[in-house]
Amino acid sequence: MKILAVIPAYNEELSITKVIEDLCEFAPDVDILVISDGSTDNTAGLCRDNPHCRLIDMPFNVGLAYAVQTGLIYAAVNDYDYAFQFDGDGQHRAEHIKDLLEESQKGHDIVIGSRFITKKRPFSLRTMGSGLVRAAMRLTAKIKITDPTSGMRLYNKKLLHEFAKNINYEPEPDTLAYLARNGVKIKEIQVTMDDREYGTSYFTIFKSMGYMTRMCFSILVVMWFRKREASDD
Amino acid sequence: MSLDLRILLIVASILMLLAVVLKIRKSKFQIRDGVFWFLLSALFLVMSVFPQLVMSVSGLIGFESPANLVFLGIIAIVLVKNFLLSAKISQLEYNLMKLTQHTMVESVKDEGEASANEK
Repeated sequence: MKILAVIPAYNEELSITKVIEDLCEFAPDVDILVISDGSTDNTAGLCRDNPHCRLIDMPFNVGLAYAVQTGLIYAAVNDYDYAFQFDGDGQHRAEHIKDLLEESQKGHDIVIGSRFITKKRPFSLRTMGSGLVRAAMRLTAKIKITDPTSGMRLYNKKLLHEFAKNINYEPEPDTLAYLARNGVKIKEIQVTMDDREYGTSYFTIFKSMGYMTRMCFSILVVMWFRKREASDD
Repeated sequence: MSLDLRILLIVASILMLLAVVLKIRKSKFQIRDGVFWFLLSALFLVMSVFPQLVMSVSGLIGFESPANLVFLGIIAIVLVKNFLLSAKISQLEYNLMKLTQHTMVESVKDEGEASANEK
């Protein structure tokens, strides 16, 4: 069984080596692919020197969605059975990978590691926005996702090919809602995540508002008009 | 604001939204690029359904007719969008050039190694 860890990384030189070590320890059968998305620090250099991972060094910044898609294209081309997204900033724990895999083998196409199934989500300005997105998803796709923005996602072979092939398949909640509506089996399992140790998060208030608008447009308007072209293997 | 203008705005609003959504459906458009047209479409709708808003703002600024505010506003938005598109094209050209140069240099490097191995 071939499994690929897809790690999109932008300027994560302070955490990337630890992330790779974590995966080697708790998910030793997994191949590791780091995609440095135009990093200006030494992220790519560290990965090049690291025998445990492969590196795709993007010539310029393409954004999270296309960086992840690049990893999934690699998975598709190299005939992987499973591919999962894993953060390069150290927030994800590799010990949960086997749980994601186990759940996927029960027949789910996408398995997501959620922080908030058994634990309660803390209330803040940021989480209110997430509440809006979750409500939109429940309304339109009848799907209950507790952690829609979680970056810890495992795709089976069929889905990783579909994500590799299509435009507008960002690793975001709107894609989940769209796929759920089209019969794709999505399951969440409880995981623990850590807080970011180094660096700053990408989201400012403006970016959050833009993100909300984009999600609402996609889930509440676009989704009704989309035509699915699943992979044909 | 005259009824004609309001009707025009509603029609424009619907046409814009339809155009974007159909382009996305044909998979020729990134959803994130459609957000601008969605918001513009919503703005047109709001202006035509609530003309009192337009009229009060136009009175505040000192326009003779609220239609002038609508026209100026649309022109301003078009200019800003145009500028942002220029910036985006510029970035795209640069990215494409960078990728092309990178690829070409890599391909010559392989040829060089191959001929060195043959010798």
